[in-house]
Formats: sequence, C-alpha cells, structure tokens
Amino acid sequence: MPFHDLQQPSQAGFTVLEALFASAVLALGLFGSFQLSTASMAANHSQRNLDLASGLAQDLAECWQVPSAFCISQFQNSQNTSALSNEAGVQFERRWNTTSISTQGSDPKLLQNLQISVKWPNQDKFNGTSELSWQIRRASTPTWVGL
Amino acid sequence: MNQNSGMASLWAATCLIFIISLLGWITHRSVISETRRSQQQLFAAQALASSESLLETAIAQIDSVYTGQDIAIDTSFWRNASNSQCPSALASPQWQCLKWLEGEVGTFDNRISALAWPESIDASNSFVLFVRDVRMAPHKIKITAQISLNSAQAGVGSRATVQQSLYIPISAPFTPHVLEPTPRPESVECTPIEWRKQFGKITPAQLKAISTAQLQNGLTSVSQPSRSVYWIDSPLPWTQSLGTLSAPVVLIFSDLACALQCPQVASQAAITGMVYFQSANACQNPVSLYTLNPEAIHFEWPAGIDASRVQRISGSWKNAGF
Repeated sequence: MPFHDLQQPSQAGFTVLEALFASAVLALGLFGSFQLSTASMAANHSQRNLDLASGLAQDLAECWQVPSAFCISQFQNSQNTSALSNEAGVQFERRWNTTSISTQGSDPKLLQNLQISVKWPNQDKFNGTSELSWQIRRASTPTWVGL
Repeated sequence: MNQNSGMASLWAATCLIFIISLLGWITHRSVISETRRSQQQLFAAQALASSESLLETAIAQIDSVYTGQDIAIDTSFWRNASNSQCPSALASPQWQCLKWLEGEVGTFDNRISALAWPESIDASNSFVLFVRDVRMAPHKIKITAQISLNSAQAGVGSRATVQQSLYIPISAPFTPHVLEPTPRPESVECTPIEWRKQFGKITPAQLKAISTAQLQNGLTSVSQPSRSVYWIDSPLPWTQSLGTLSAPVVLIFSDLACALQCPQVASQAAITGMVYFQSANACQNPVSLYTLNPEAIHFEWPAGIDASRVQRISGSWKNAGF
C-alpha cells in the first residue's frame, strides 16, 4: 500500500459544522441583499408615484388660463376632481380650486390663485394616502405682443 | 490534499455573498441617489412655482398701483427707492431700485396695499426688487422675485429667482416735433405754445413724475449721466445752464411757477434742449422757447402700443439671475 493512501483518513466532504456555518453566512448575506432590494424597490416605487403626482400637478398648473381646447377641457370638470391611474394601477385623485386674491381697490380678478392637490394610496403612511400640494398665482396683466 | 476543501468552500461562499451584498449595496445607493435627485428636482420646481407666484403678485401690485390712479402715485410708490438698493452691476445713478421685504410695504400710502406674500416662502430670505432706468426708460420696470421655501415645505431652503419687465403709463409714445432752434426773441410778442404740440400724449403729471424720480435718484446737471427732465414749480429766476447737444434737457416751468409771472431765465443760462412754460403767463415774460428737439423725453415704445395701462414686455420673463 502506498504511503499516501495510508495518510488519508475519512476527511473528504463537509462537516456538519462547516455546512451550518456556510449556510448561515449565505442566509445572512441573502437576507441583507433581499432587504436592500426591498428598500430600493419601495423607494423607487414611492418616488415614481411622487414624480407622477408632481407631473399631474404641474401639468394642470401649466394649463391654467391657457386658451387651448385641451387646457380648457382640463378645467371643465364641475367636480374639480379627476381620477387617473398609472401603469401599476395606482389611482391618483387630482383636485383644484381657484380663488381671487384681492388687493385694496383692485379688480378681484387681477390676481388669482390656483391650489392643486393630488392624492394617491400609500401603505407606508399612517392614513394610507400620500398628498402633494401645488400652488400657483397669476395676474391678469396682459402682455404687449405687437399689432 | 482534501484537508482544507471545507474551508475553501466556505471562503468561496463567503466571497460570493460578499460580492452579491456589495452589488446589492451599490444598487441600493444608486436607487437612493436617483430618488434624491428626483426629490431635488421636485423641490426646485416647487421653488420656481413659488417665485413665479411672488412675481405675479408683484405684477398685480404694480397693475393696481398704476391703473386708474393719478400718476402722482409713482412718486409715492418709489418713495423709499434708492440707487443703493441696486445690484452692484447697476451702480450708475440712473438706476432706481426698490427692494421689498415682508412687512415693509404699503405703510406709506393708503392707495398702495400690502403685498400678499405666498404662504410657502421664507420671508426672511425672500424679496421683490423693482428696477428702472429713470433717465432712459422710466416707463419700464424690471421686477425680480427671489424666494426660499419655508420649513412647512418638504424642500425647505430651496431657492428660485424669476424676473419680468413691465411697461407702466408714466410716459407715452412720442413723435418728435422737429423744430428749428429759435433765437431768443427780442420782442415781447409771444404766443403760448400748446402742450400737445410739444409733448404729444405725454401729460404734465407724467413729466412731473419723471422729473421727481430723476431728482430723487440723485441725477443732477453734473452727474453722469446727467438729469434730463426738470419740472420747476418755483417762481425764482433760472440761472443754471443745462444740457448738451448729446444730452439735451426738457425744462418746464409749471403753472405754479408761473402763477403770477413766469420765472426769468437769465441771459447767461444756456439751455440746450427745450424750455416750456405751462402757463399763458409766459407771454408776460418774453422768454424764448429755444428748442432743438425734445429728445430728452423720447422714450422707446413699441409702435401702436396702448400706453395707458400696465403691460408685460413680451419676451422679458427670465429664470434666475439679475
């Protein structure tokens, strides 16, 4: 019998301890990675909804007092609300309200304020919804554009 | 040989996990960074909307001040203005600047109401600046609104600046009435010259307001640039030489100055530009109307404009900067 054969006891393969330790390291690493992925996805999802909400608010604000057919139709809803949803099925509710800011002795329509509110469901919030408020003012002072 | 194979596997698994975790961490950081960038963009948009709101509020304020009011309100509105409030690039005395901070407006004239500041701004870091050139373009005001979001907003501290220029009815389009220089008449004969012939649609009140603005801003006959419009209510004799060929003046003796008899213009006083006596009493005093042209009040207006009301100047809206 060769010498090296005599030197090999039954040490091939993993011991239970090694396997447990490797599994624990693997589990710990995977758990951390999973947590990071979950947090990233949640942040991404939340930001995507916030971006969409701000886009809806800004879109309406830009349309205010613009005499185009599309913009006029945006403000024709008598309820001042509109429901919209994104591709993930999240429902956004957009509300708006216009008020006059009158100054002493001036025409009440000289300065007007548009208040826009966009709400959408968010399980991370205490009341289950997130809200974005947007405010813009506009004076009726005309622009001289020539004859 | 297989003595360390368990340890090697463990190391390999650990390294693999480490690499996966590292990649996960980098991805997470990337997402967070992208989220923050997106949030900053939102805050910037909110700040811009607030600064636009403040600018629109200031425009409405100017509109309400100048529309349907006696133009004498111009003097009240600019009462606290000075060249020292101007940005350093506008150090010349022709620039008149009025900076409004919250709580400092509307206290000096009951016809000028307080500015309705938007709720979202931090008043201690926000202002409205009105600027005009009282010599070359007193009928144009550049309004700059700079804001910082307050602590009630998610983007607290976000700043934005916007500006826009307006035409105000302190002057009117003017077609120069080219007259030959007339020598000082020797005879007593004189016919009062009609105001409209000389000044077109510009009213006495408007010229008085421009004169007051130039005086208030420190323009004099020796300043650089020099004063161009003089509205005189005093009956005292006039002894000062005014104007040059390149910078003519308009010198007007008002009804008040001519109440009894119009002031004498001393023979050594060389006036280059136009002298006008508002009163028919000018005939009692044969002072000449020695006109080159009324260039001093020829302000640039677009053709066909209705100069009787406040209007935005097309293309003057600008985001940020002075």
